[in-house]
Formats: sequence, structure tokens, C-alpha cells
Amino acid sequence: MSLDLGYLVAFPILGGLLSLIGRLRLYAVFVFGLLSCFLSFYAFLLSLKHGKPLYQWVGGWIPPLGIGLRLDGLSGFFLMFTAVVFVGVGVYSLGFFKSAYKEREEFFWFFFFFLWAGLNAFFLSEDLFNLYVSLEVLSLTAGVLVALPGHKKAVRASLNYLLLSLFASLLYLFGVAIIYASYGSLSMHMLAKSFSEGGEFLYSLLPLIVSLSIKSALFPFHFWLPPAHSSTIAPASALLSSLVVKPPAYLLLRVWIEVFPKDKSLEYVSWVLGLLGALAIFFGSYYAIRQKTIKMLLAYSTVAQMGYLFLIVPLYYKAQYAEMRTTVIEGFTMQAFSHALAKASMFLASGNAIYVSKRDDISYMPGFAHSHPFTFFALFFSGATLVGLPLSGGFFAKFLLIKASFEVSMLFQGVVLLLGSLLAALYVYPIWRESLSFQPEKIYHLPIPRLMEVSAFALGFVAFSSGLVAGFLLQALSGV
Amino acid sequence: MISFYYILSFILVAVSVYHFIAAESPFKRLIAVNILGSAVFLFFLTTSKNTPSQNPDPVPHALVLTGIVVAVSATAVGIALILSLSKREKDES
Repeated sequence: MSLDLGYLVAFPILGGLLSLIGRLRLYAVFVFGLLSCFLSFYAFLLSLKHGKPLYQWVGGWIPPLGIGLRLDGLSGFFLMFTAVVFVGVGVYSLGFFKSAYKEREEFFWFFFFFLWAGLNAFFLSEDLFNLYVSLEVLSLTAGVLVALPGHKKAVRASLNYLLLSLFASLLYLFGVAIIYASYGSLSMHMLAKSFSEGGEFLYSLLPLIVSLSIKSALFPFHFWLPPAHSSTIAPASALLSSLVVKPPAYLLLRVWIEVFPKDKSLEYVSWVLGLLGALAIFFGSYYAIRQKTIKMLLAYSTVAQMGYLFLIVPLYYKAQYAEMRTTVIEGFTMQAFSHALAKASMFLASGNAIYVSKRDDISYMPGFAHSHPFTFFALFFSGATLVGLPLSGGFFAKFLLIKASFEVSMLFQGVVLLLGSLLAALYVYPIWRESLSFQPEKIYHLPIPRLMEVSAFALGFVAFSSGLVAGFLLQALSGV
Repeated sequence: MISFYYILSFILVAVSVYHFIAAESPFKRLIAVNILGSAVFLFFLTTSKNTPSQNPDPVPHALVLTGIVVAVSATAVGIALILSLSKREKDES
């Protein structure tokens, strides 16, 4: 059983290129969408079975010249849920573009596939420069997806996002240059050896961490996210909010666990990030509660949910000393996974709400419970996952993280995690309340295209029920 | 001599970060991003002299070349967005 990891990047790119040819578009989308999804799942199963990291050198060139790709439990898991979200959003888009934005469809699929390729490349990359290139692919494709509706608000949000994102990418490259100047290598497993011998990498931390915080919208760099994620069309919002903010946090976990030495000065860095994460949870949830439109609410909720991934950075530091590495990695992965699926489902369901009521105020949210049970259950399951109601994927993630933080007596993390759930319940509540409302003028009998309803429901259902099979899903991570 | 280039690149980084934060107009911010790019590339290239042997290290050259290509295409997307934004603003007024 073997797999050339390069295909995981090549197939989405091919699909994107072929989707530009008008007559071939739907065939390209079907064939390459399914192929890419199949490959991602195959890679996931391979990482489950293999147990230890699988290295490959692109084109047979070994470092320092060649580019290394690495597949292990962590990257396999991220590849897998990226594919799940892409398939869900892809199915939704097949219905979506039949009813609206028809003239945007050809461009959408191109950027859909290139975003997928960029994410796969990011999760598989093993050297820091290749990660920079993938980050740039993500910035460019995500920037264009923000501008897709073509109205002034979207173009402005896209421009702001793109400029900030390019700025952050170059800061990242600056940090990479400092590392290369000090150690003469960019490959992570080679750096892991040299970092423990000299502390020069500490100089690169400021540009690297600022850049990754901007990219994943950590408080106080979150200001670009709500306009960018709320002003575009529903499938693009779903991709951006569920997936595009994840890679920087993933890289931070990866570098901390695998590359950074046990260095006392890193503890302060980890606490700064942890406190900013806590602030992101409080401010993100506070602003989410105050929003009047559903897409802004969901965008601020992304700020809050990303906060969890940074809140637990002090745990990475502790995990280098205590026997809880696996628990922390599992908690991180489960949180990223359940948030990605739940947020995608929420954004798709909000697209359905806008489809029937033509407005996106929360107070105009249709009473889906009485007319469109699939969309209602999509909102119900994904909301439950965001809050972390028992049995959901989000519950399992928070449970693991709280367990890990109490194990090393970090009460602060545990308490913020619990408060965060409470705040999430407060911003999810208005969505549930309105979709259950009985008022006859809020019950629309306009049918929503079947694909749009089923895909939103499926993503929400998988996010919720993943809590039940989390043990199976997470077994690959014990080898990381 | 080497340290001159390092200092120059740090000054350019500082200038571009300042203008990126302070400038209002998106075009100025795009230029600031480009200056940051040049500063980082200059820094990266200067490090290629950082080898024990007489010959410069070729890897930074290859990486900077890739970086320049990415920066040029990113600038093109940025300019396209700025143009489309100003067109929409003109249409409204």
C-alpha cells in the first residue's frame, strides 16, 4: 500500500484547470472532486494503518535541494476533514449556482479546487518555505473567493483581507529567512535537531507568531475576518470560515510539538498566545451575541472558536514535560475538526435562510422547523457542536482539553473553556429561537434545492455524531 | 560590508511596516507590502554569503526567485481588486 503524496495536490489543481473549460466543467468537478476526496481518505487510512510518519521527497530530490512531504496521523486527519468539508460545500454549490450568481460559477470552481490544493499542500509540507508558498496560494484563492459576489462591500473586504494576508505572508518569510540564516536548513525534522543546540530561533519568533496570528485572526488581529467572511456567497463563506483560518494554528501546534526544544523562554511566549486566545473567546463571543445579521454572528463565532486553538498553547509547552502530548493533540484536532464541519454547515444553512427570506437579519430568520426540517436540523446539530452539548464532536474536544488542562493544574484554561461554551450557547440561542418560531409570516413554503438542504444537514450531522466515533477517528494521532 | 545590507533590510522592513499600518489608501498599502517583500528578499539573499566556504549558498537565490514570482502575481491581484473597487465607487457617485 503506497501513495505518491504529490497526487493529493496535483488532482485538485487539474480539476481546477479543467473546470475553466465550459463544456467540461461539471464532469471535471465530479471526476476530480471525487478523486481528490478518495485520495484524501486513502491517505487518512494509510496514516491510520502506518502508525508512524511517512516521508517522501518530491521528484526524488533529497533535502536541502528537494521538497519534503510528510504524512502522519495529524496531517492525515486534517486532509480527511478538509475533504469532507469540500465535498459538502461542493454538493451545496451544485444546487446553489442553479438559483443565483450563475455568471460566477466558472470562477468559483477554479478557486474551489485551488483552495483545496493549497490546503492539501500545506498539511503535507514538511519544510518551512513550501509552507510559505502554500500560505500564499491560500491568501490569493481566499482573497478572490471573498470578492466573488462582485459588489462594492465584498471587493473592499477582499482587498483588505488580501493586503493583510500578503503582509503576514512576507513577515512569515522574514522569520523563515532568519531561521535559514542561523541553521542553514528549512526542513522541520532537521531543524528539530539544531534548535536544541542554539537559541537563535528565538529571534524569528516575533515575525512568525505575528504572521500566524494575523492569518488565523487571533485577537487583536481579528478585525479583517468578520467583513471578509460575511460579505461573500454562502459556499465561499463556509470554506473560508471553516478551513482557511485553520492552517496557521495547525502549523503552530506542529512546530511546538515537533521542532521546539524544551526551552524555558518559550513558556512566556506560550502564555502570551494563551491569554490572547482567551481574549479572542470573550470578545469574539461578545460581538457575536450583539450581531444583528446571521453571517456576522457566524464570523465572530469563528473568531471565538479559533481562540480555543490558541488558548491551549501553554498546554503544548507543558506537554513537552508531562505525559499528555496525545491528549492535547487529540483535543486540538477534535476542536479544529468539529468547528470546521459545524461552521461550514451553519454557513450553508444561513445561505438557505437567505435563499428563502432574501434577508440575512436574524430577526427575519425563517421558522425552518415548520417548513424545512433538514435545514433546521443542520442548524440544530451544528449549533450543538459549537456549544459543545454532550455527545457532539465539540463536547468531546472540550472534554479532552479540559482534562488535559486540569491534569497539569492549569485551572485558567479549564475555566475559560467552560465559560466559552456558555457564551457560545448565548450566541447560538437566537438562531435556534428564530428557526423554531411559529409566526405565520416567518414560515416560507418556498422549496430549497434538495442538494442545498441535504449537504448542510450532512455536515452538521457528521460534526455532531463524530463525538460518538471520536475514539476510532483519533487513534491515528497516538503515533504523532 | 555584509552588515550594511542587513541594516538596510531592517530599515526597509521598519519603513514598510510603518506605512502599511499608517497609510489609508489601499494602493499605498500595496506598495508598502511590496517594499516589505524587497526588504525580506534582500535580507534572505544577504544570508547566502553566510557559508564557511568562499562560494555563496545557492538555496536562498532559488527561494527568493520563487518569492519574487509569488509577490508579482499577488501584486497583480491586488491591483486588479483596487481597480475594480475604484470603478465601483465611481459608478456610485
